[in-house]
Amino acid sequence: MILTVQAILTVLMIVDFFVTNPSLNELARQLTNTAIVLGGFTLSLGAAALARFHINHITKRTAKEWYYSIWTLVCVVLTFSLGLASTTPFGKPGYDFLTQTLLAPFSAAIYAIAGFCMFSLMFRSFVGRSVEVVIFLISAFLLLMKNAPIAEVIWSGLPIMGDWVNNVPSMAGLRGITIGAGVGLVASVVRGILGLERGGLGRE
Amino acid sequence: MGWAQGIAKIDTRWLYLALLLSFALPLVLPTAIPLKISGETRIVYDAVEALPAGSVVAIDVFCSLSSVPELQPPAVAVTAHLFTRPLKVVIWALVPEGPIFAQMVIDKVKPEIERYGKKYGEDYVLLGYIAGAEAAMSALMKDTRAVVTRDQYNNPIEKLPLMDSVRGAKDINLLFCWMAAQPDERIRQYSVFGGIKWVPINVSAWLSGLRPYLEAKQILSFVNGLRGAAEYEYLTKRYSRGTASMGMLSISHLMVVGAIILANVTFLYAQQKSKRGN
Repeated sequence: MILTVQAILTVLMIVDFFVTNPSLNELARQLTNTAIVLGGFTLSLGAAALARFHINHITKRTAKEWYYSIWTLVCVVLTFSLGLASTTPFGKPGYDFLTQTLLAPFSAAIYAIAGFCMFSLMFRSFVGRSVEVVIFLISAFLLLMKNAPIAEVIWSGLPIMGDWVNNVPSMAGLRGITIGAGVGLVASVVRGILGLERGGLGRE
Repeated sequence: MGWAQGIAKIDTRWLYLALLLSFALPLVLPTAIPLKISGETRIVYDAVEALPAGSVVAIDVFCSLSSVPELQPPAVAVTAHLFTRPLKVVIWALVPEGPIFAQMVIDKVKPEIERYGKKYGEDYVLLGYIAGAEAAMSALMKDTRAVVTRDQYNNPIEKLPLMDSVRGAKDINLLFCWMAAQPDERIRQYSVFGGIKWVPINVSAWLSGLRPYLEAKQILSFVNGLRGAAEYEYLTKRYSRGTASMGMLSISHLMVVGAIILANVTFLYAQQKSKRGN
């Protein structure tokens, strides 16, 4: 039954793309809006799953976990409350402080730490042990130089070579991946219409 | 222990310190570095300049706050340019953190908003977060009002005069997307379905992923991270964090290249020594 509904809706959305028919287009529009409403509900589901996970840790007093779980739930409740109050003159400064002064720099800092780890990793492992690695090293060098304005000062040919790496071999590879993914997507849709794609239903 | 071994076994904390200095020193001691304007950035600037008065420019925020250091400078540079022109700007977010980022950028372009007398609701609107990812994009292209009933500040959409004239893809003249992801979904919805000219303002890591779509003319062009910000700031003569970051970008990139060269010299030396020993 579910597979039949899935197949009918998939065909309907495909036909909507190619055919102009007010009733059909309106139906497709309503279905799209339903998907958006469902998307909104997934946020609530995520919040509920997060709460359940951490409440479980707290009630079981999981070693080295439960106090972090309390802190996580405090942060969630605080953010949620300030978010609700953000449209009021009283709540806005608090919400702005939380998001712009705390959340944004913290998120950026966590992301930036990856840069330090990558730098250390490159120093330890980027050595020309084989021809493939040497090709990779030369490409990395040229792409790094392409993005750094100082490369132009060192030698004007460096950014040109970096552009070539980006625009020719790299793009060729990415085109292959993109086209492959597109063909895979079409195959997946056809399998869905034929009722062969059951992974989403938790079946083999 | 020889020098090669010493370098190979260097404490990771020294590497971190070297990288930190390569970021910090150019910011403390700024140096002017010549900057060549790329064709892609110039295309974006020219496209904004060529828009007739009253044109609607949409901005889709699709990046988390972790991308702020790289994406805020180009987003501010382009948005400031939009506000210097007689254009209408509609901003929506398709990630929950998007409205925060949008507000941060709007706060940064307050001088332009005040200088050019832009009014909220008439000249620009922030629609806030719209759930649903690709389905939301598709719905926005068909009928904006079916998806959005209130703006970021909880005002009913009917009370915003600008939204009377923005009903779907046909009303949008140019679209920007502040993004730190692959553009595939947007190609499907904005380029193919909506038929809109759009420009990614992207983190540099995704530059290669945009190239095939640029060559296929499915995106108009792109503004590439901090480098793109500096180029755009040069074109608009509004120098800010993008320009200030160019020294940091250059020295830190040179540091990485230097470290790779040093690692390889050390490796080759150790290999030669081991062959001689045998």
